[in-house]
Amino acid sequence: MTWFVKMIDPRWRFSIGVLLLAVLVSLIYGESWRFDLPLALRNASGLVLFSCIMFGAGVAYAGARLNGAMPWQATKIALLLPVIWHLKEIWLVIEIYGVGPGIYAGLQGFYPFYYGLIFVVMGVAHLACELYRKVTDSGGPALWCCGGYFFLPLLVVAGLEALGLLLLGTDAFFFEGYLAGYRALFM
Amino acid sequence: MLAATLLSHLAVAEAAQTGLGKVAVAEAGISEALTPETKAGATEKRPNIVFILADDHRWDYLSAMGHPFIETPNIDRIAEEGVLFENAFVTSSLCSPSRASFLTGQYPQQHGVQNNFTPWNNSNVTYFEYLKQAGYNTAFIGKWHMPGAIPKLRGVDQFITFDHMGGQGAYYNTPYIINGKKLKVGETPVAGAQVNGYITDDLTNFTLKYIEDNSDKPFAVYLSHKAVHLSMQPDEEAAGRYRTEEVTLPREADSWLSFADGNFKHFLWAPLEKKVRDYAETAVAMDQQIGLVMDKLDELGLADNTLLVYAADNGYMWGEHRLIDKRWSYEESIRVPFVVRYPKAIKQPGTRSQEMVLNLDLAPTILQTAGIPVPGHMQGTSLLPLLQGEQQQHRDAWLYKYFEDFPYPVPEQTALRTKRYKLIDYKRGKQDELFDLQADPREQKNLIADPALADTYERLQTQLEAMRESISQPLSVSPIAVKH
Repeated sequence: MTWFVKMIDPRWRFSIGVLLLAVLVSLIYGESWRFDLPLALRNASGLVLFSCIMFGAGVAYAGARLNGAMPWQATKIALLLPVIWHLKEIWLVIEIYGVGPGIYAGLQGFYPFYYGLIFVVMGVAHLACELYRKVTDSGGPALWCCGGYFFLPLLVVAGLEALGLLLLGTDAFFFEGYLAGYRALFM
Repeated sequence: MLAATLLSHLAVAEAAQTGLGKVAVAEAGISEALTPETKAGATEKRPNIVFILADDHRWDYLSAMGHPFIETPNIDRIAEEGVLFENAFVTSSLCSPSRASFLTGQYPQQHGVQNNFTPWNNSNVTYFEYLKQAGYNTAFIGKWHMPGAIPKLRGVDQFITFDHMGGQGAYYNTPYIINGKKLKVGETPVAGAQVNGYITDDLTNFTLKYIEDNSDKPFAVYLSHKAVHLSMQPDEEAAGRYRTEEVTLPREADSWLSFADGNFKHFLWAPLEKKVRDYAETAVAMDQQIGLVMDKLDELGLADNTLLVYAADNGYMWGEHRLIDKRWSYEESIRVPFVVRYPKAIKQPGTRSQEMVLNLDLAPTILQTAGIPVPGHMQGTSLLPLLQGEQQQHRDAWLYKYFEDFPYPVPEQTALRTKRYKLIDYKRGKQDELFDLQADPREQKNLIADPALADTYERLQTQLEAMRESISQPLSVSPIAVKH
């Protein structure tokens, strides 16, 4: 633990910690049924794993900010686990369908929403950090203003999805648009 | 009669070999197939045909199959008054290919609908064409869900379907299409049939009206439900019915499996137990509507002369092998309910058959029951001799095939299923598997490298290759066609 604390840049500690936790619980979650471990434990490991994937960026972002990172740096640091998980998802598709469809599958479909949500989580963490700095008077200029940017990606993606549904009666990302894009590009 | 049948098959075969299209083959087959008695109209009215197809309903989610809490009294009633095939399978566990197989009696390698991208080729011949030419009134009501535009299905008088949500439809407020005409939400395609918004009820209402309007002629109706497919939404009456039931997941599963490794692409997005309850409740809502169809047949005095079949397009995995959905060659995915009632032919109601029957067998069964010889291009085998108790054995082995279907991370696979073994040949990404289904019905122990089964493996591999080759051959008269 001391080694970890000494070796890792303080701004990265939470992000890497979340990643390591996710890897550990992923092993427990994926393999523990073979040893007949109790369902409650397996469910708990699943809950932690999927929480890391969905909310870990918020913890990593706050950890980076509270250790001196600026919002842009903290954003990059917090994206470590989401990007690794995303690459794993792309790899799963590449294994079956090849590189082109794998990359397409990674760029379209659920993932724009996923990143939109991740940015919202970081936005919430950002606002929490600013509030903490204000309450504790821990110095530095307040950066409330950039909080809004974190909510933009989800607004854009959801807006496009809604526009598609309103104008064309079909969704752009989740299902029909996703498959139509695949047909157009690869079939 | 037998001579006429054989002649008709030869005509079909000859037409096929001389390069006529499938339609021409069908026409030749039909005109030759109808014997003088059938052409003139038999003294006895031909049997009515009611086929009810569910979506994603796996074989063991029936109370008749001993499920711990689901209640399906109406499907059970079909079984009590008919035959329940406990080993019924689909040759490709995905909506579109399986549906095309029910209609054509062919493997996906022949009809060409191989996944959710390969469109239906309207030169395919369905059993409706034969029924129509034999004088039936015909209707297809419900989920079509095959890629491509909704076709003008030959041989079908009334084609009520939907293209909403890519052909999936929604449980509530789906706009219908009748014979190509798109209607608004809430608008009924059938005068006098109510649209109440819940799709299972609506489709049943259209069917009831159709049966009423056609009760004096032989009719064939294909009622294709959306239920119990995702989003697994029961009607108000069934919702919450199993809220307190304890769901026991397979040993390898857990509550969060619907989020793991690509499973989230199946849109379950809830703890598995919750979705199992939704699934069961949706099935109960459908079962209740199936009861209305049976009541209508009783009320009109048609039950005795009606072949009633209930089946599903594929099964559904609820965490077995840590998988959700269908597609895979495992039992939970490929095995479906298949229940048949036909009082005129079934001498022992309540029979439970262990024979392996397939979705391909539906079309030949319907045709033979209607007195129409089974054409050579149908690869299934009629179940009528089994229903009549005249035959005890049906088939010893059959071939399963899953074609890749973007974006689901499921590799292409071909499987040979015998009564005892299953050999799965994966194209990539996974080691081939061999299971002894008698010793290991849950397919947990892969015996592919077991030296004690080396000979068995070799024999099965040879058989798989031979079947793979034979079912893809251009069609002519097959042994199946001249069997009866």
